[in-house]
Amino acid sequence: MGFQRSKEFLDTVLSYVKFPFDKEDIRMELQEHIWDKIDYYTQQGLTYYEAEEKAIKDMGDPKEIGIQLNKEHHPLIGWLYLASKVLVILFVIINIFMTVPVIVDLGYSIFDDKLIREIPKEDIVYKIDVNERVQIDDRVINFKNVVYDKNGTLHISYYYYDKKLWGSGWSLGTIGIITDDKGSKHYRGSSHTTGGIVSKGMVSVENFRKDAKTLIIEYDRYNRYYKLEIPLKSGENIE
Amino acid sequence: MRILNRKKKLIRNIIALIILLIIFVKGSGLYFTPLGAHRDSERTAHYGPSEIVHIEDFRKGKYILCRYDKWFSCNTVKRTLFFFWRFGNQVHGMENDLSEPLSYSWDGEGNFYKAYGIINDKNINKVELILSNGDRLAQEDFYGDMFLIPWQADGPRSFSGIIAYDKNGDIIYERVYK
Repeated sequence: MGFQRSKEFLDTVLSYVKFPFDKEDIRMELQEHIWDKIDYYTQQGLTYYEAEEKAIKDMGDPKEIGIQLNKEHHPLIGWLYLASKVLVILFVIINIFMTVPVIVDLGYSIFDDKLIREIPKEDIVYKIDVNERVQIDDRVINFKNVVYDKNGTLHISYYYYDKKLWGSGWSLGTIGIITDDKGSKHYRGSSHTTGGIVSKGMVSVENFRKDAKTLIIEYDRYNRYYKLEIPLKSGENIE
Repeated sequence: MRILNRKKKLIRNIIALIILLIIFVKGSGLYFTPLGAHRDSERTAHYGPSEIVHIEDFRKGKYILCRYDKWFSCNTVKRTLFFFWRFGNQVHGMENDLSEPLSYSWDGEGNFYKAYGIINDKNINKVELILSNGDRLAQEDFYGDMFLIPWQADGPRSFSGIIAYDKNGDIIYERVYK
C-alpha cells in the first residue's frame, strides 16, 4: 500500500480547500514535496514506510495547511479569475468574427471597382477620372469616375468613409441634386452602395443630355453644402 | 506568490475585457448611453447637432424631441442587450412652416408610433390626435412650444389626423385624413 499515508494526508489538506479548480495543482505540488522528502530519507537508510511516515510528519498538521491554503487560494478570487478568463476568450472570439469580415470588406472595397466594372466596356461612350473630394461633417466623399454610356445614362461612382473610424451610423442617403449646364435637373436616378468602412456607391442618371458640357452635383441640406462642377467630354468617344 | 500572480492575472484580464468590450460595442453599433446613440445618429444623418427639448421613455427606449435651426425632429433610441443603446429610425429634420399654426410630423416603428411638432400660434392650448379607429389622444402641457404624443398601435390605430384648439375649445388648426 505505497503512498497510502501520503494520500490520506493530501485528502485531509484538500478537504479544506474550497476552490475546486486549484485542488489538483495543490495536490501535485504537495505530492512532489513529500516524494522529495521520502527520497531523502530512504537515501539516509530508512525503509520506505519509515521514510513516508517521517516525510508526512515533516509536512506538518494537514488541517492547518489546508486552512492556510484555502486562504491563499481564495475561492472568490479564483471564481473571478476563472470568469474573467472565460469572458476574455469569449470576447476575443466574438471580436474576431466581427472584425475579420470588416477588414476583408475594407480590402475588397479599396481594391475592387466592381460597380463601374458592371457597365459593359462596349457600352461606354466616355469615362472621366474625377477624383474630387468633399466632406460633410465627418464623412469624406470622393467622387471617382463619371461614365456616360450609349444608352444615355450617366453613371457617377464615388466612395465614402467616416473620419471617425470608431463611429457607427447611417450610410450616405444622397449625394445631392444632379443638374447639368443646360439646366436639366435629374431628381430621379438609381443608386446603390456597398457597406463597410469604405463604402462605394454609384448613381445612374437615365436620359442625361449627351451635349451637356458640365455635370453639377449640389448638396444643400440641414446647413451642409457642397457643389461640384465636373467638365464632361460631351459627344467625344474616347473608348 | 501564487495568489499574488492570480490577482495580477485577474487585473490583466479585467483590463483586456474593458478593451475587448469597447471594440465589441463600437464595432457593433452599440452605445453605452442613449445620448451617445442619438448624437451619432444625427452626425451620420448629417443633421444637427440639435437642441434637446424633451426626452420621453417608451417601452423599447426613448424618444428625443429636438429642434435645430428651422427644423424639428424626434429621434428614437432603443435599449438593447440589457444595458446598451442603439438608434432606431433614421432621424429627419422637418422644416417648421411658420405660415401654419403648427408644424407636425409622425412616424412609427413596429407598433410604436409618435406624433410631434412645433406650435407657432401661441393661442393653441391643446393638440389632439385622431387615430384610424376613432381614438383621440390629446396633449395640453407642451414642452416649450413643442409637443410629442406617443402611442402604441396594437390594432388599426394609425395616424388619421390632428386638431389644435385654443383655450375656448375652438379649432385653430385641423388636418384630418379619410
